[in-house]
Amino acid sequence: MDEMEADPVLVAPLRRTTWRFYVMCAGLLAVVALGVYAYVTQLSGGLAVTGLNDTISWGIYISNFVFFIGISHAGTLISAILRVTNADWRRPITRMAESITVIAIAIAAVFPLIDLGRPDRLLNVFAYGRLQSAILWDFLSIATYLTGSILYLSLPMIPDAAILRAKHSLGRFRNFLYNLLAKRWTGSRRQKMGLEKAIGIMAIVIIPVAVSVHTVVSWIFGMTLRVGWHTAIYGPYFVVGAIFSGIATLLIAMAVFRRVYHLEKYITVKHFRNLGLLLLALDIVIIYFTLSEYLTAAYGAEEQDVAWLNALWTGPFSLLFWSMVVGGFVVPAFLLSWRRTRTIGGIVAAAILIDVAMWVERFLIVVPSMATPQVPFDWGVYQPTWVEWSITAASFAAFALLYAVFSKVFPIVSMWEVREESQAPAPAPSVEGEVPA
Amino acid sequence: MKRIPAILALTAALLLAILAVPGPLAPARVAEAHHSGELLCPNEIEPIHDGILHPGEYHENSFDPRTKVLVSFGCVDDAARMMHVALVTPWAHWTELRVQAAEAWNGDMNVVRTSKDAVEDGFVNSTSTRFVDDLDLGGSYDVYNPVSKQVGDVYVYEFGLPLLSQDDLDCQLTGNGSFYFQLAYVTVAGMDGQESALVESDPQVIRFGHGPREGLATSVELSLPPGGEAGEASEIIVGVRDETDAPLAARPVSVFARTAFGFLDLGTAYTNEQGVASVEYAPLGEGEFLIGAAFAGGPDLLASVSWLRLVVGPDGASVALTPEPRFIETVIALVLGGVWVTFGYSFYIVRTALRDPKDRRHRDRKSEG
Amino acid sequence: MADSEQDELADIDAGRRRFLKVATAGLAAGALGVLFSDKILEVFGATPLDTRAVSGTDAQWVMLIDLAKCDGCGQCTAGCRDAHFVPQGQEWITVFKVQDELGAQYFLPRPCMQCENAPCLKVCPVGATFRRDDGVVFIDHNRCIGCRYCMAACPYSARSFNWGEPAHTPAEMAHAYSIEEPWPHRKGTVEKCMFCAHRAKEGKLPACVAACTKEMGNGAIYFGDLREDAVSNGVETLPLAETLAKRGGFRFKSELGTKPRVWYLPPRR
Repeated sequence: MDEMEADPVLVAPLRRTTWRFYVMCAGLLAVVALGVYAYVTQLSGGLAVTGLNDTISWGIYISNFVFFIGISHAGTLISAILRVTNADWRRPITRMAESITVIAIAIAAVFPLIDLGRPDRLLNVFAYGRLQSAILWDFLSIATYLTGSILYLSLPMIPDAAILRAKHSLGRFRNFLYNLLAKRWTGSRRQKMGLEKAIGIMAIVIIPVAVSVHTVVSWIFGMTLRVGWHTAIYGPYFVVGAIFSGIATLLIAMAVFRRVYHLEKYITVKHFRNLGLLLLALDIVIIYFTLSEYLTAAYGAEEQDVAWLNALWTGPFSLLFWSMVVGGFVVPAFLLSWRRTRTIGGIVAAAILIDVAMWVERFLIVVPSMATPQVPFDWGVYQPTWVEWSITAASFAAFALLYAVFSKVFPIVSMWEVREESQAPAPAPSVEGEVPA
Repeated sequence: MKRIPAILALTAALLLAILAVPGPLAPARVAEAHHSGELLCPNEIEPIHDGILHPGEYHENSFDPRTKVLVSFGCVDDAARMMHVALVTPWAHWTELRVQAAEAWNGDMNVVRTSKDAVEDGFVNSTSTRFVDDLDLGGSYDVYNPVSKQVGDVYVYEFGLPLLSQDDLDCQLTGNGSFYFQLAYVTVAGMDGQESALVESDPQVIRFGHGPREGLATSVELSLPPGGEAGEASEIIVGVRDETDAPLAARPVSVFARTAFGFLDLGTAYTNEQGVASVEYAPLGEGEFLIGAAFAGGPDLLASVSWLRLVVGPDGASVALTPEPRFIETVIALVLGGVWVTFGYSFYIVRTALRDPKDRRHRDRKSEG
Repeated sequence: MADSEQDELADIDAGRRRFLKVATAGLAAGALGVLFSDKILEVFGATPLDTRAVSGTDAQWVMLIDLAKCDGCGQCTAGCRDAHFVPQGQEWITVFKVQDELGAQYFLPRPCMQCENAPCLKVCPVGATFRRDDGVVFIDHNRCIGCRYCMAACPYSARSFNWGEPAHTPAEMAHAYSIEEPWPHRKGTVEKCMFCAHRAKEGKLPACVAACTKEMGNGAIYFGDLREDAVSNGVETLPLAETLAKRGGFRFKSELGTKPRVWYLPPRR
């Protein structure tokens, strides 16, 4: 196959779009629109339209924020760590992972804004920002991570964009994007070396940035004096949880794209198994951290710790807590370790359970600690309203929508990386950029 | 045994006599009186309004423990029954002297209030309990020759107050007898008509009559250590002497400090043989604190008060902070800056690789060749 | 060919090295600038002093609450509410009913502690909450972005939030907003007790203290200047250090290191 020839299977989604896709987009757009309407309601009525109150002043907006930052760690692990360790099986799924990262961060970054009481004063963060506040650390690290991730997603897209440029038939908008990325790409050895070097540097630097992002998010809670929050384990706990939910999300995405775009040749059982094993390993680490956190609190039995633990284990949050532990940590561990259930279907089922459980886990991080009384008054009660649920649903819909649209603009499997794996590396003669249609 | 019924009968008769007597002497009928002084006119020396209390100028005074105002009285037996008053007060804002207005107590009081800027003549009674200026009620200004003098933190006012005034709103005291007076002060400046902090003494009683002066004037001297440290106890030394400069031994002096919302009682100490007593005060922070010492007087002795500022410096432990170099911010700036430089570097590598003109030249050479 | 390739590679390397040199130099300069930013600003005469933190008084306000006298009547909450048009549903001083482990019951009024080491100060991203040099912690409602991090951080749950537009009275709207007298209240900002600093500078005791001393109250709340070692409830003035020592005064949750400016005297058993 010629260097500049596009792989037909991988380009097919870009060339043909069925009515089903448009229907799905319309549906997702409708959900997003509902979320926008809900936010407008919140702008006019204030945060009083939510279920928040003086006792529980942070709710699912903040837990959504943590959740989306969490799943953004998909890209980093797969692309960066596997690239650094030269694991070739990563090639078909790198772009899927990297795009999850960018979209997830973009959506996550919106949630603190939605949660603000005075979003009209956002510029005060720039004018009067205080570096002593964990929110500022958050802001800086997320901005850095977003920039790095966009760069890290865009660079490997250059060769594919060059290939696609050759096909004029993809429309003005997409051609404009391809031109932007790859106008001068010729595929020469020097260019390839430069690109590989840049991607290699980014892969190395993005790993500590990603670790810092979720550590800093954990410190927003960890730097307060609240029960359940003020614990040293929060940094590692959040990072491991992020990679955990990130891989689960990636597995779900892999399964969906594999089915819808017929990518069985590229994304095989081996990919699912390898990621499934990683997921299992992380599951065990999560169980270890969870056990460590709760055992320490329970053994020491400080008054507020006991109250908080009782609320989680036997109190108002017990249903959520045990569903999360059993359904999200224990059951997937079995699904992923038994050979009989370690099929694509089983692994994806485990991934779905894990993602749902991790959303619940973020909720259980934010709300029970605030519900536990610090002073002698009653327990707080939090019942999210339709505004909060609509905005949450809209965020997931926006994620799916952006992801789907992205897969229609760029091939979701990185064509040149996959090709590189199957070919022996050879000095490529320069070829004219323009190929007659 | 036979005398007991007689004694009991006499006691009962006396008791009935006291209860039957009308007016201010009736116990607990209107208000509790704390001071029963006696002011006997005429003065040998007519008080000169110069802001200085000379010994013998005033025949009677009273130090009020709640408002910490020393009020001195002297009088001349003339047609208006002019009573001379001196106020020694630590309050720059209104200090009020209220004197009973009617022969029989009915709650009406003539008020003279002083501040460093003005002296006003007014009226209060049980229904209108806040000061109303006589001029607003159609009366006249009847304060005779008011003079004020500021000595450090303390204000001395001397003025004349007619006990039988042309103005109906002022005192109309024709006879001799016991009359009420009251002191008050306001802590807020210029808040006329609005809610302000008003502290009032209990009403006190004074008797007017005729006769020579009976009490000796006294003076209190405060001595404070220079430059104490916050947190350390400063010793406050108080000396009491009479007008002949003789020390007064075994007399109680009360010492107090002015605080934001009232007076802190530092204790009551008894003078020793040299007429000297001491108390301790340990402010917890640096600043200047107004200390007062008062001798409440006694039989044949007038009251006196003295005020002085105690200066306390910062405690030895606290050190003035110089702005420290911002270490944490620098580390953050370095780390973040390093990451962004790396991003820029990668971007630069790709940009130069894509823009490399030698590539085109190389290509052109190839196509040529 | 090989030579020109080698030259090209050398050029590329030179270019990259240049970039790195310039970037590193810039980074070092920037870091030094940040390190000494305060001193640099001083040289230019622009002191980073927060002018809002200047109170104009040398006082250090402190409160003492005698739990032996508090009977839970709630007049302090009502007095505070009336004085500040406190929005409905908020209590800037809350009276808790505490059940002792051994069965006795007492009441604990909790204003804002005005902590010297305040957790709420540390976490505010825009510096909307700040501590004045007289010890009172204020909220600048012009700057607050409503992130509610301070509410999550306060260990005493002393802060409230205007979730919606608070109901206003004409009297409240007629007043001009200032940090010391923060009404009209605004939607989307945080509120709390600020020791009635606006009254203290006029020689008046805070609204809760005044309410507790009037007819219905017991004079359980005292207020004063820590430097003078004296607190007053409007009727009597107590020497602070001596009273705390004599009656075993304590601070609420003092083990957290917040260094609150509110002291309590134990409830008698």
